[in-house]
Amino acid sequence: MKSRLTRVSALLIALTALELHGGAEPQATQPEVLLHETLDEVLDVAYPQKAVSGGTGLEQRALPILEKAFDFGAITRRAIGPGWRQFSEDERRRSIREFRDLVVHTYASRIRGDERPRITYGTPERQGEDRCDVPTRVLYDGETYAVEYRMERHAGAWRVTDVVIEGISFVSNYRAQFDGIMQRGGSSAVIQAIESRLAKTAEGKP
Amino acid sequence: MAESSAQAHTWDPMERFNRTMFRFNDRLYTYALRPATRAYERAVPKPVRQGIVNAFDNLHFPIRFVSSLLEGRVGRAARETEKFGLNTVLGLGGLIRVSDQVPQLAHLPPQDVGLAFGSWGIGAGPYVVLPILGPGDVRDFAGEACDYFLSPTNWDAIHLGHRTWIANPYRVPIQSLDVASAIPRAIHAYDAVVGDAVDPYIAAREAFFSHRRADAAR
Repeated sequence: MKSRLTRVSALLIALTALELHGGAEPQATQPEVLLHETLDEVLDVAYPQKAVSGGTGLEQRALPILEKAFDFGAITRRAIGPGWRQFSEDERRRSIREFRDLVVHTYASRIRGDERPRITYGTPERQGEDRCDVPTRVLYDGETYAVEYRMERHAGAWRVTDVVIEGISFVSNYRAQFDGIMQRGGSSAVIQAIESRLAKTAEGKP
Repeated sequence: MAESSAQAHTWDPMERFNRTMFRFNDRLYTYALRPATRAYERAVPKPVRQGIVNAFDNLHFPIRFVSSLLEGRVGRAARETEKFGLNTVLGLGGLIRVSDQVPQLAHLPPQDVGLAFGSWGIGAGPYVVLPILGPGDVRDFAGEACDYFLSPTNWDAIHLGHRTWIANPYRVPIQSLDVASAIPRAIHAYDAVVGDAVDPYIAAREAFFSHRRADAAR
């Protein structure tokens, strides 16, 4: 019942947005609709099939869904910051691929426990023609978290470019971490840091 | 850009000391608090744990009420009072967060004396990592000292004039339970921030400042 209500309210939000923007865009391209569909899809693969908390299987299942909705190139570029200019083409490809795996792992590891999170969608805030922030509230494990998705439109397609959980921007937080590593060791040190983190993650080490 | 202005607020002149304290705390979490959290979560059913967290959160009402007034937010103080009254009376002394069913009370943002100090224009001061207590800035640690005195869990009794109205002979066990019940939440938050970090110290520091800035803006 509640999930039906959530779907109805999401539809209402989408319809309201359509009306506010003169109905110029087809509903399927609305950022909040894309986000809602993506999060539903991710949760569908995580529940109820999820036998254990987290789990690497979830990452593999969630990756193709997240790849459609997340702009991993922009996320990686912005997380690395001005140092990106020093990356060779090959280093850029490697860092995008590896940082994507880290993002997906981080995202999947937030889904723990057996209870499916309940997501409510706030009113999207347009920050210009091609930028939109979609606020959500996630009720999970007895707690409510404010999660905002920052989305941008490139070539007509909306994609997530940052996730802000309780005020903590994913991109800004990694940017601060990469800044020092970049200054000390350049692009190779950044890639090595991501690889080392992924290796520890694969071994289940903190 | 927002990111660069956010980082400009980060003042960490004691980074070497802080990193040492961060490593100490990380080991404390790994070898003592995280195993204790797992044992607690296995032993105590979730509704009971949630009830304990709710009850203490409800008891911390004076912190939110006084700091709302210190910020001059009378309406916010009134909503906190309403929430406290509702949860105390209908929520069995705060065990059940009945206020979650009331839209205007369901998502009241965090409020404490440190935030009130910030609203007065008092600077955050340098970033400090203290053993056990974890990360903070000087303003927030000063605010937490005030929060301590405002929390009824730390009171021996309530005096009015020369008369003692409510005595609290169980202060120490209540305080201990208050602190212990907050640990699982703190550990989960810590793990969420540093779990996939390439530099856990920086990840925790930036998360602290971003989170507090977001609290102040709400």
